Amino acid sequence: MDILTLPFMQNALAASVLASIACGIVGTLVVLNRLVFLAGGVAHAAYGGVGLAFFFGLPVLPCTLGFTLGSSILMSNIAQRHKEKADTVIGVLWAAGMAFGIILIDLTPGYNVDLMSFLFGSILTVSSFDLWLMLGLDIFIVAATILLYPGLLSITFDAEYAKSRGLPASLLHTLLVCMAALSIVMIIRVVGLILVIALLTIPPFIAERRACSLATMIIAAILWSTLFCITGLFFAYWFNITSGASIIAVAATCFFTMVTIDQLRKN
Amino acid sequence: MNQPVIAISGLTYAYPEASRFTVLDNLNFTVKQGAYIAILGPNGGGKTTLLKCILGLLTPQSGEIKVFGRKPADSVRYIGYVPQYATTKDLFPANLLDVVMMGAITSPLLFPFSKKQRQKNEEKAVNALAKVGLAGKERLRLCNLSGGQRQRVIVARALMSDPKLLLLDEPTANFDPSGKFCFYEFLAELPDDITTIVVSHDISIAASPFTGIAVVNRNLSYHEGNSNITPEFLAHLYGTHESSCPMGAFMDNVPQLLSFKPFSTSVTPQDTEE
Repeated sequence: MDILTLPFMQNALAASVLASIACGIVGTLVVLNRLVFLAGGVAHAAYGGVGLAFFFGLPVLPCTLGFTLGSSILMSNIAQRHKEKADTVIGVLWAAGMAFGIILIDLTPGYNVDLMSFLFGSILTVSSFDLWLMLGLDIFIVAATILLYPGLLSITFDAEYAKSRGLPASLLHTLLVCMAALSIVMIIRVVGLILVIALLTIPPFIAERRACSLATMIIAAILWSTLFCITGLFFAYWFNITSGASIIAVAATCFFTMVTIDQLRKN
Repeated sequence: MNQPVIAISGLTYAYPEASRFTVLDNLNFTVKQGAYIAILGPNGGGKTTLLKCILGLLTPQSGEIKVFGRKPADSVRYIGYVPQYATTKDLFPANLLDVVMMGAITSPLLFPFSKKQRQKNEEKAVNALAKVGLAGKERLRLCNLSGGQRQRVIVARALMSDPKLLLLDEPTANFDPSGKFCFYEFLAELPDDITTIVVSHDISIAASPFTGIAVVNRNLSYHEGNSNITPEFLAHLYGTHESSCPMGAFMDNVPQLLSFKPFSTSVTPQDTEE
């Protein structure tokens, strides 16, 4: 247990819990609203913002945030107005954002970014500033979810009915996508793009199988996510492997085990 | 209350994404309070589009719709809506009580819901479930129910808002034949002050005691009572009565279908033969 006394490990554990809170809440809503593809599109399009920031020498975080929020609002509008074409257009924005970012970084003189660090992040090098930023994000997401719980519950279960009751379903949908974009941009810097998508999807999927309400599913997703992160971190430390990949490996193993057990029970 | 529940004049709607194909063309229609109306018509005839215009979910290109004398968007609290079955998520983590209580949500914000209000809503939801024949199943999840039972839950949700106008879109799509008759009988027994409109292309609907039938196929023609639903009427409506066509064969059985009374306890062999 000596590793718990190491400052970088303490920061990594704190980042795991904070990322799990954001991903547990947003991931549950993303999975139930079947927006995983859209969230993936937003996560990849974020790279366009990174490239833009480096090319023009702008501050990375605000630039990436602005670019990602813009693309998420665009994707949300397309998803709501042209449902049958949504996946195609999101796929195009997904690839275009990523390509745009890579080209701009290639064109940036004297800068050579490591794509692997963007994909898998580096949770072991989280700074105190990042932790405060994530805490702020968590407070915003928790507050917004509690305050808008009836509306989010209603659009998630049946958006058309929610609209017929006069609820601002489109606005809530856009807000949900923006919350996902905000979480992705903040957490991607810490844990990487792949881990964000994994934490947004695997814990809610497992939580959905036993949950009896939206609130219990959110809580279960946060707990599963925290468990995966902490276990993955310890494996990464002991076996000297990439932390992000280790966390995903733990989550994916648990996911496939659960699916297999459920299948065997059914048979 | 003399004003009509629904007053539609010159309604025209065309889907922008379908090259402005006109689905509804200059419709005029008035619905009185307490009416029990079936909207029939072939697929693509504009039944669901009409319902969505009444709900304010679609904005017509021209014409006017008044619901309780107001714009549709201003009348939502008087309307109970049962959307097509496919719009709900069956694996959603919620028990039946929670699903029905969603019918009481009128604001996206949490603060209007006090503990007392929640208790009141819970009692109301239990009663709504009992009304649709699902008493004692409040804690079950939607995925534990059959298609027909799930649809009843959605009807119970619509009843939560104490609607004065109940709009149902293909409510019996997942019902077995006896379940359909049971369901329409339940609708017919709703209090007289509730105006009910059912959209369907299911001809067994004819056995229900409607006060009127509206046939929607780009235009609208209204027929008082339900005695007009004859095989010829349906053949004209759905555009086929060929003996080689399965629909035509089905229509040949319509007279028997119309005389079928599943809830009559005094059916004798003589009655059946008649």
